Parts: sequence; structure tokens; C-alpha cells
Amino acid sequence: MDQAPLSWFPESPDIRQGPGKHRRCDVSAGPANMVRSCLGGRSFQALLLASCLAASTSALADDSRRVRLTLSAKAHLQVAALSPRLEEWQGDSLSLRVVDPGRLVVVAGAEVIAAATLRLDEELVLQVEPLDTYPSGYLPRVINRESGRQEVAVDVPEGVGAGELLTLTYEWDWKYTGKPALVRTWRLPPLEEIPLEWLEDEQVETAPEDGEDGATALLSQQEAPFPVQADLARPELLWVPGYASREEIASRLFGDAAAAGAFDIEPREPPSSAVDGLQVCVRVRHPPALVPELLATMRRALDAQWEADVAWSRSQLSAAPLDRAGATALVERGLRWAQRSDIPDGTGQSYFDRYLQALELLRDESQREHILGEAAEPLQKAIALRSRRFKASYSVTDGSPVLAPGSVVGRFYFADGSSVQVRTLLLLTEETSLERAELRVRNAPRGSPRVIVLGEDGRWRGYGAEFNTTAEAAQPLEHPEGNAYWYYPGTLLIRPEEWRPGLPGTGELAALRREILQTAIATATSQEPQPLLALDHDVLSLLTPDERLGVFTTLLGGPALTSDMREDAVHLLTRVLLSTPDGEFPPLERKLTSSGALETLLGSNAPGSKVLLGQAFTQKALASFPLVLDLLESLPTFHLGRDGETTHLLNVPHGLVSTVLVAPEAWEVQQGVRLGAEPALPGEAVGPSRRMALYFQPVRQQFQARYLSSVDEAPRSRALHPLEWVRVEVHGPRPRTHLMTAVELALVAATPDDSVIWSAIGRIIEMRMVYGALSALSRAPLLTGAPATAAQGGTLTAARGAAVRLFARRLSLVAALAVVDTYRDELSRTPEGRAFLAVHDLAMVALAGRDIYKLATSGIGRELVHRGGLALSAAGAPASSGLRESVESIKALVKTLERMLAEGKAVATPDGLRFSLPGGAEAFKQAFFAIRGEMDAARALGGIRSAGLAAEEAEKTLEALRLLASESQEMASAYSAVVRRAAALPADKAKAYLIAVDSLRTSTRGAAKPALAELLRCSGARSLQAPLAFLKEAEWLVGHSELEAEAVLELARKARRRSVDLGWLRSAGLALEDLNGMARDTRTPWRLFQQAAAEPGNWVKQLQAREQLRGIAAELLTERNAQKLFPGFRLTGRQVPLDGGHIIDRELTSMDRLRRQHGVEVKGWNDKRWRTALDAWTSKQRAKTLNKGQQALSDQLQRLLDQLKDAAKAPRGTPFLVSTDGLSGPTRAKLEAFLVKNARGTTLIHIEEALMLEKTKQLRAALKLPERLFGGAP
Amino acid sequence: MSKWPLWAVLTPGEPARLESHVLDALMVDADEDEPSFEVISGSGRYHAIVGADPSDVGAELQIAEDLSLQFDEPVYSINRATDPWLVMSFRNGAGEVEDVAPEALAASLGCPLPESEVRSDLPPQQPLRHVALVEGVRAQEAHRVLEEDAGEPLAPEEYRFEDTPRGLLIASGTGDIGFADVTVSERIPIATAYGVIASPSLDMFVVNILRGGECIGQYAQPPRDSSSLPRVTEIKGERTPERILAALGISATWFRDE
Repeated sequence: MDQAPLSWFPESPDIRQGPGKHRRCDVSAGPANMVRSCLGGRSFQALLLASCLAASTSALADDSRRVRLTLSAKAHLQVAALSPRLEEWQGDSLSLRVVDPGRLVVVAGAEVIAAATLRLDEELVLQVEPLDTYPSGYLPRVINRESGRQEVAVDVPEGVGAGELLTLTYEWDWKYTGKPALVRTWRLPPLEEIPLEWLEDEQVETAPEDGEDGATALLSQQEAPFPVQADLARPELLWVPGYASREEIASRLFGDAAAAGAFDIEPREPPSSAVDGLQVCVRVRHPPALVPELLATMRRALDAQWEADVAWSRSQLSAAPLDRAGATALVERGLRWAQRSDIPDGTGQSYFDRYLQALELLRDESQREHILGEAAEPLQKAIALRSRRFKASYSVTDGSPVLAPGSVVGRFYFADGSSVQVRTLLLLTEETSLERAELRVRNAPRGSPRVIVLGEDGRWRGYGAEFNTTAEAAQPLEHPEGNAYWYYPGTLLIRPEEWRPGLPGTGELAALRREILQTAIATATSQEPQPLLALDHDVLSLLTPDERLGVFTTLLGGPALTSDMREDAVHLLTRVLLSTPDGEFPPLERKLTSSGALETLLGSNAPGSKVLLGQAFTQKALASFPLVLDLLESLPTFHLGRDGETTHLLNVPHGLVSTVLVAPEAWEVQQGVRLGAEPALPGEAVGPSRRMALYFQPVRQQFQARYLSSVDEAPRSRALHPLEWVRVEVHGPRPRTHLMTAVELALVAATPDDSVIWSAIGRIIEMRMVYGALSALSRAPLLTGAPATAAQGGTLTAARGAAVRLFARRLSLVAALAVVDTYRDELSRTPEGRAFLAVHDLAMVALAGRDIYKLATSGIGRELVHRGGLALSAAGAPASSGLRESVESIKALVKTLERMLAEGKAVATPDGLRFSLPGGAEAFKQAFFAIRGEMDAARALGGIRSAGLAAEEAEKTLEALRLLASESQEMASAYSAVVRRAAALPADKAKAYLIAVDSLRTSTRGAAKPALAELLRCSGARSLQAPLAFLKEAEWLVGHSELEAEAVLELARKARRRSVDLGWLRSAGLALEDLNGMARDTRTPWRLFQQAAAEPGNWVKQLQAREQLRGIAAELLTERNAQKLFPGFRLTGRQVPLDGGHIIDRELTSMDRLRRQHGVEVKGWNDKRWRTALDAWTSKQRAKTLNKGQQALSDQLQRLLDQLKDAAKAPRGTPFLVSTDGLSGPTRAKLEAFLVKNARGTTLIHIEEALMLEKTKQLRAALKLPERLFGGAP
Repeated sequence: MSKWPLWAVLTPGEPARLESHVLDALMVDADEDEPSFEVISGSGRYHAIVGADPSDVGAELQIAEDLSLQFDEPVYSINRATDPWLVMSFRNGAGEVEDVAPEALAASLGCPLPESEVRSDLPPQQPLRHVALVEGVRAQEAHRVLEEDAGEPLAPEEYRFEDTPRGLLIASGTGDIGFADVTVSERIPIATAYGVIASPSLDMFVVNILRGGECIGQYAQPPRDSSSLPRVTEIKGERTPERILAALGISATWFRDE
């Protein structure tokens, strides 16, 4: 990296850094060492590594890297006379045996890394408490509390205070108060390159290769589009990933992020055929607006569906007389196609008309009525209103342009085939555009569904709507598997509880939104707040701070929260909160808590919406305040749910406590939101203040069948700031761990009615699933379901693997993390896995807000890495390889992110990650895989060492490969594959594998290096059964002194794809010249030749092999005789791609001054094949039926013509066609006539048939193919 | 995929799973760019895995062989990069060569192969029409010969035969007699055929003189440097298209569009 300006460098708040200790960077050390020379960067890097160390230290079997010290006053005072000496620090942690109480402070460089009061209680049990103003995050780890064995440990993160001093100070307490303090000092080593062992952050047991579909998470370019799949049964519906936001979906579907309103979300369950991960179903309002690629996809799916439906419909119609059920089913199918009347097929005809066109009995009115009877009416109406080509005598009596109340505008079909009408109620609004009408309807009070219909006068009208059913009957909107079909084109249904987060309030309709908002505010009162309750996200986003507070006041000042509208009221407040700009949230929170609003909300009995409101608080807290996520263990932890006979509940008292408002510039952001010090808002005076705080009092109910149940109330917790982070352990059949703000927990747990808390807890489990937690964010993804449970049964494993790859292949950071969700169930089996998921979910929330910076600097990333290691350790050997890959990839991702930010190669912006230099995304990818490789290498070496095997050789091999990896992306990939494979093998096999790898490396000629990369990658593939044997065969290839580099590389590529068996090829007797020629050609069907050699009696295969060899012989001869065949030209290319997308066999360049290039197509066909092909071609032109063989040859001639035409395109000169000279007179005459008519200007060049036969014979012999076949040679 | 698929595998199975399988087979790593193949969902049980990267050619055999172990139905491999194209079916790991057109096979299985989205933007060539005058043969005989060659009765409008003083005129309602002139001259060795291929304005004008099925001379206007056939500069003593047509008794209207 070149010298970069420093302005990019985040003044990273370090959780272990003292107040105001933002550091300056010294760029004099050069950019390469910037990480080391920038103290800020150093701390920043250390954050991550600290977590690695915490894991590795705890996992160490020996304690050689612990520095032991006894905190004994007597012992200390005896040696106090000695001058304290400076020692070199060589440890990982301090292990402190506590004999006497005191106050401990450990400082690394300028940063406090531990502070605590260590005291012994009456029973001499060790108690560790925060010291003075230091928060609990600085507490040392307790190793043992027992009397006589009291011990704590302080981890010294590598990198923190590097090159400076580590100082431990212990001031004696109790009877030694005032005695000279114990002070020990060490010099910390300077920070060098990241040592490999740092990355060895977990020594998990190596899972044997189990053949499971290995999942590979990766990072691809952010710009890569995400997958979209057409619904198989309803191709007009598209499935998109749950992690995509509305804007991203609009961008993907229409190429325009501003078109976020041009599609609707359909509340459907993903079908079993859906690719895992694609959980959101969207209906595009105007399919022709799709980008061409997706429109083509949709059309292909519709074409296929059309064929199937036409066939089905015909079979139904042929079974006349139809019974009522059959007629109804046909009508339903017809209505389904009617909905596609606005989608033109490839010829411009609507799919509805195309469907009718194919079914004469349906499109003919008299036959239709005769066959369908009374059931025909819906289809009659649909034809009358939606078909352009076909007519129905049906008289539409709904009224026009305004539909009369009771007009039937649609029909809803349940999955069982029954149906109900959809009828209009009163006219609600009338507008000039759908968007305006929709805006009015969506923001008007709605207790029933609404429909918007286009009138004949071109105006859009919104109506109330009802389903023609009884209250006791099934309610259509509760049946997402059903389908609503509309008679009027463009009809839009708006469900009563349908909101659209993610739509901006700005744009052309901003004025109308503002008008709607003002009207609602003006007319709503505390007693009758209904006008406010229907406002959607886009309108609410226009609220000013005062108006926002006013909405809260209106709702909390009246009976809304205790009346029947309480769920709607709380949901509105949730939307208000989410639509609040991040910068306006802190004052809003302060006002809400100081005005008593929060207390009122806690007492509200609206459990469903309260859960959402709580999430909104958490998300806004994350977006608005610097997040400091300390170690999970240090977070206040609470329990909810049922664990055997024990039920965990929480009482949620609250009260006013003292706090201190400090000037924003003096606020220690790294300490996060907490009581005791919080930034004053504009207009607030600094100094002591009081604020509302929350307490949690655990309640445990013990159910005993034979006795009365017991209730055990534990002491309440310390006072918590409402936005302070807490950890919640949810007990039950599927235990979960979640991180949330105290206010979110309070809103869930504080429910007046105990009976509903269970549903609230259940909702937490479901709704705090990764995507659910994101669903309400303003720029958030859409999914609200439970994604991990979508796949079922035996397909689960495969679907997961596929999903992982699919995700990984497209992706952005969000998707890379989303991969973990695939393994949610597996991770949830252990407490460590659940803790990892909790942090992961939080990281997803941060990423959903595009807050990369927060991910990297808040501690989430560090904690994620740490927890990932623990989760894998806990899972042990049974952990699936997919899970292991996934978690480790995330760890690598976080490390890459940190490294790129620290090196200035990437900058975190509100819109995500941006790269400082061109090719940054590629650099990110390379860094990611380099780190991933380092992790795997560390694991492989660790495994070898742990098994007691010598690792020096393996270490050297990996080091050599690592150096090679820096030379090219291909070698980096190879390195990555090799270390991954080595890490997955048992130690002895890993060692042998690495020895074989090194042997291949050292055998490789310089020119064959690119091939080495391919071969190593192949050897590292999990699907390769015998890597050692493969490497041995590969040695022959890369060590072959006479094979051309191009041939070696192509063979290596083929070997990687298992298209050639190197061992077999080596045993073949191909002449060097032939081997070079055939190997260079990407198309050589080596497998066919190998199979044919193995099956000499398989006549068909022999024939095919001979045909192929003729083609190869023709090409070899063309190349060798080029000078003679093409005088005045020089051969300049092989397999040359043409502008039109075709590939031509060879390219010639004229030797004259024009240097014009000409394509050459070589055909090895014999006379018989040419003649058959030309006759077949002619027959096809005359529309005659061809047999399979004729069809195949005719297709190949068409392909030849396409190639020749493409090759003839300027500025190229006219092309050449090479063929045998063994053509009969008539065949030659036909071929010439064919060229005159279809490829004028093509020059036919002949090569000698005798030479071709001879060459083919040589090749057959070399490949050990039988010379004579039963029945004679062809 | 914007290119014409060079290889394909037609197989039953679940598309997401197939993608995973092929990624493994091609040993595509996580750090590679977009995969070089595409799985196209079919309308029925079969789906098409297609690729246009020449480097992957050949892998389709192994992929099809492996997949065939998982399904009762045959799995097909298609290679359109080689010459000739190679279509194989695999059942339980054993492969057999199939004599079938790849597109037709794919379409019959409900998973048609995608057409190339990239097309040459060359203007379409002016259509040429093809008429022949055959000396030494009568209409009835030519009809019989062509019917025998076709192996089925000729359609009424397929050819028009007209015995003229100069010989038998063979034309077609389609404007193109195909290789009828070659066939008749080959099957009736005493006949001499003049196959005329020309544009409506006669600015592109070729006459092949055929005897015994062989082209013994070719007149071309403009001259065809690219032809490997023996050249002649006059037909029946005439050197211009119009006069040659008159000498052969062929009306120029045969070559016009109407």
C-alpha cells in the first residue's frame, strides 16, 4: 500500500483505553508498518486478538505462558527492600494467588487492563468487585474462590501496550493498609507480524472427513447480485433472500433502487423447492419493468407452466362431462392465468390470451358454457375484463367508473379448492395515480382489507373490501397458501396489518405524505387517537421531534394502552420509534423515560406489540449510541422460561436513580451507555441528575406435584440504564441466548398478566431470530419468519450446503454472516454455541444498518471471533464440517475487516464498506482467504504437534506455499485449499499429505507454476478421495521437461475437474507432438478415450472415439501443415472467441501489410457424415421430419454456419473451412452449393484423407484403442 | 449465461443440490468468482446443468456418471465443443453413446438448452434461389429418382418439373431445389445438369455444371476465388447471367421474390 492520508483512520474508541486517549499515528514508519506504528490501530487490532488469546489461554493444557505471582503482603514486604527489577514479559496472562485483600490495577502501556478490589469474606471466600470508577469489564477472571486456593487471572492481550511497560500495582487492604504497595513491572514485546499462534485461537478436535457436503462460506464482491428464483407453481412470483432490503431488491429486480414501491411482499411460506435462503416472496406490479435477465427467467418459468397447465386443462376438458369440482378446478386455473394478462410472452401476447388460445373449448364461448355450466361465470368475467383477444358475452354490472358497493372484484381460493368472493364496500378515495391512492388508503384507519382498482376513466379508487364468508368460516387472509384472483387488471389488495418498512418518506409524494400526517395529528386526540394508528413508516418518517413526542403524549395520555386498541397503539409507537432518525433518538429516549412514558408502556397489556417495541428500542440504541459490547460474562444475565420443573420469571421494578450528565466531549464513549455518566443533551445542564432506571428481580417457581409449588424471589439486580446491554438466557425445549437492551427485556418481562408472558417469551424466540430482529429497521431486510426451519427432512443437509454456497457466492458481508443461520439448530445445542449466536445476531443487526464500523470497533467482532472459537470447541468432533467452515470463515471475515480498516484499504461508511483503492474488493477477498489460510495452517500444524509428530517439515512446506501464495491469486487459492485439507485430516495423514505437497512443489519446473496452483487446489478438494496418489501422478506432469507450459496448464485444469486421469494419460503412448497438441486443446475428451480403451468391445463407444479422433487428427494436421494450407498466412490463435459469442478453431493472420485476421474452422468429417449432414440440412429446410441422428447433424451444420458467419464479421477477413479431400464428387458439389447459399466467401481447404487416416491410426494405437472392430472399421 | 452452452448435463434432482454437486465436481473453490455453469430448472423431472467455459468441457462426463448413481432415470451428458458433438446417457454409472440431437433431447426432457444471447449483428445475407436445367432426362424420371432418394412421396409443391425444348426445368415453390440437381445428375449418369443459384437481381450468379453428380465446371459472377471447383467462364457460349439464363431457357423471374 502506498502512503495513505491519515484522515481515513478511525479514532477507534478502545474499550480498554483510558479517557481521552485517542492516539496519533506516526506515519514515518511507512505504510507497511502502519498498523504497528499507529497506536490507535494497534489497540484496534489488539481488540480482536485479545479475544483469540482469551480462548487460547483457557485451552492451554500447560501453564507455561502464565506468569505467577502471589499477592501476599508478608512475602512482599520481606523482599520490598530489593529494588523492583524490570523483566521481559513472555507470558500470556498473570496468575495471581490471593493471600491478602487489596486493590489491584494492571496497566499495559497507557491502558488499564484490569482493576478490582479483591477481598475475602467471613468464610475466606474470595470476592472480586469493581474498583472505584472502573466498570465490571475490568475485573480479573476468577480461577478459584475457595479458602486457601483463592486465585484470579488477568489476560494480557497481545499487542496492547506493545513495546511499553506492563505494570501491576496491588495496594494492601485490611490489616496491611498503608504498607508499601506491591508493584511489578515487565517490558512488553513490540508488536511484529501477527504470529501464527495468535491465530491458533482454538485447538478443536479435528473432525474426520465424513463426506458431508462441506459448506464453504466466503466473501465475494459486494456488487454481486443476490439470487432470485421464480416460484415454480406461480412463476409471476419471485423469491428473494431474507437479508435483502427493499432498496436492494428494487435494484436487483428493476435496476433502480428508487423503485422500492414497485413490488409487494406476499405472505407466503417458501415452497420446499425454494433454494434455502430465499425466503421472501415478492409480486412485481409491472413485470415488463423487470431487468431483461429476470424477465426472461420469469418467462421461461411461465412457458413451462403454460405447457403443463395446457396439458392438464386439455386432459380435464377431454374428460367431459365435467363434474362441478372439475369445472371449478378448470375455472380456477383459468383465473390464475387471467392474473398474467399484463405479462407479455416473447411474442408480445399476454399469457392469459396465450392460455386461452391453446384451449379452444375454453375460448369458444358456447362450448365454454356448455362444458363448465354455472361454474363458468368467474372465467367469463375474467375474459370480459382481462382478455384482449377473446370476448365473453358476460355483462359486467359492477358499475363504472365507480364500483357499486357489493361489486365482486375478485375471488379467493383456498388450498382445498373452495372459494369465496371478494366484494367492495364503500368508496374511500379517488386519485389520479395508483401511488397516491395507495398512500391515502394505507394511511387511513383500516379494520378491514382494502382494494385499489383502476376505473375505466383512468382514475384509481380505493374501496373497503370484504370476503363473502361468515365469521365462523375460514378467513382467507389467515391462509397464505390460498390465492386471490382479481377481475380488474392492476387491482391491489392491502391487508389490515400490512406495513411497509423501508419505504422512504421523500420523493414525489412527500407533500401528500405531509398532508396526511398533519391531518392525522390535527384530528387525533388522547381519547380518540385512531387517525394516528394507521400511519405507515414512510409518513411517520416525516415527524419532527416535537411531533414525535406529541404522538407519544397523545397515546399515553388517554386510554389507548388499556383499551381494545392497545396492540395497535403500541405498534404505532414502534413504527414511530423506528422511523426516528438516529440522531434524534437519544433526546427522544431521555424524554420518554423522564416523562413517565416508559413506565406506562411497561404496564401496558399488549404483549405482541411490546416485544416489537422492545426490539425497536434495542435497534435504535445500536444505531444511535456507540456500542460497547464487553465480554458476555460481564453482562448482567437474566433467565426466562421453563427448565424442567423450574420456571424463570422476572419482576421489573423501576425507579429514579442518580446519574451524572456530562458534557458530550467529556463523555467516555468507550464505556458505553450506563448510569453514572451520560452525555448531556443540547440544552441540558451538566452535573448530577436523576433518571429512570430498571431493575430485574428473578423469580423462580418450582412446581412440585405432591406439594405446593414454591416461589423463590432472588434479590433484584443493580439499577440498569434502559439502554444498557443485558444477556437473556431463554430456557425451554429450544434454549436460546439473546443480547438486548434492558428496556427490551423489561417490555417483555413486565406483563401484568402472567399467563401471557409465555407467549411473549415464545415470540422472543421466534422474532429475535436473525432476520426477525432486522425486519423493522428502516433499511432493513424484509424477512420476519424463522428461516432455519424452512428446509425439512432428508434434504436439509444438502440444502444447507447448497444454500451456504449460494449465499457465499453472491455476497456481501451480511450474507457471509447469514450463513451461520443455516447452522442455528446445531449451534444451539451448547451454551457456547448459543452465546455465539447471541453475538452473531447482534452483528447482523449492526450490519443490517450497514454499520460496518460498529461491527469492527464496538467489540462485537472481537467477541464474535472469541465466541466462535468457544462454540467450535464445545461442539467438538461431532460438529459438522459445514458448521466449522462457516464459523471459521466468519472469524476470518472479522479479522479481514479489521485488518483492511487498520491498513486504510477500506473505509467504513454509512452505506457499508468502501475501498480506498481500485480493486479494493478483490484485495479484501484476497486478504480474507489469506487469513483463512493462516487459520487453517495453524490448525493443521497444531494438530500435528498435538499428536506428538514432528512438525518442522510441514511448517516449512506451509511457509513455502505461503510465500508462493503472495505471487498470484491462483496460488493463494491453492494454498487455501491445501491448508484447509491438511487441517481437516488426522495428524498423521495431514503430515504425509504435506510431504507429498512439498514433493510436488519442488518437482515443478518454473514454467509449470500456474499448473502447480491448479494441481494443489485439486489435491485440497474434499471430494478427491486419494490426494497422495493424485499428487504423485501430478509430479509426472509438472516435471515433464518437454511438455509445453500451455499443455501442462490445460491438463492440470482438466485434472482438477476430473476430466483427465493423469495416471492413465501417463501410461498412454502419445507422441510428444500429439500429446502437446491434444493437451493444449480444452475440448479433448480424455475421459471418452479412457473409457473406450477400457471397453474395447463397446462398439458404439469405439465409433464415437474414432469420430472424435478424426476431428483431432484434422486439427493436428491443419496446425502442422498450416504454412502449406494457408500460404501468405500465419497461425496466430487457437480456440479464439468471436464477437458474436462463438468460438472458432484457429485464427490466421495475413502476412501482408493489412495483417487481417481470418477464422478457421476444422471439420474432420468423412464423406459419409458430410453427405448425411447436408442431406439432413436440406430436408430440414423443406420441413421434413428428421430422425434423431439427422437432427443432430443438421444442428451441427447450423452451428457451423453460425460460427462462419460470426468469423466473417468485419474487421476479420473471410473464413476458412478445412475438410478432408476424400469427398466424393456429389458430396463436394453439395458442400460447395451449401456454402454458396449460406456462407458466401468461405474458402474450403482440403487436407489429405490419407494423412488423416494415418494420424487417426497412430492416435488409436497410442491410446490403446482396438484397431479393428467387430463388423469392420468404419 | 450469455454464451451458447458448450456442455450440459440433463438430470433429475433438486436444483440447489445439483449446483452443490457440480461445484464439487468442478472443484470450484469459495474464492472463485461466479461459477462457470448454471442450473436451469426444467418443467418436469429433469433439469439442465449448462456451461460455456471450454475449460470445463469433459467434466460433464464425470458429473453425469456420478449423478447417474443417484437416480433411476438415465442422466445425459452433452458435449458440443467436440467434433462431432457427443451425447451420452449414463445409467448406474455406465455410459452409452446416444445418436440424438442435444437440443431435441433437452427439449423432450422439459429442460431446453438456452439459446445464445449473443448474436452476430451481421446483416442477413440476401437469399439466393436455386433452379436447374437438366439435359437428357424427363420429368417423370426425375420425379422417380428424387422420390427414391427422399424415401417417401414428394409433396405436391416440393418441386416443379417442366419439360422444355432445352431440357427438364426443375424449380421449387420454396425457391430452392436443394440438391435435386446433384441427385438427378448422380443417379442418371447420362444427364447433364446446370444448377443455377442466383440472387433476385442476378448480381450474385453461380452455375454448376454437374455430371455423374460431380461438378465439372462452375461459372460464378462475381468470380469465386474461394471455390475449389473447376472454373468456367461461359455457359453454352454465353458470358453474362441474363444471356446464360436465356441460353438455358430459364426465366429470370424464378429468381425474383414474387
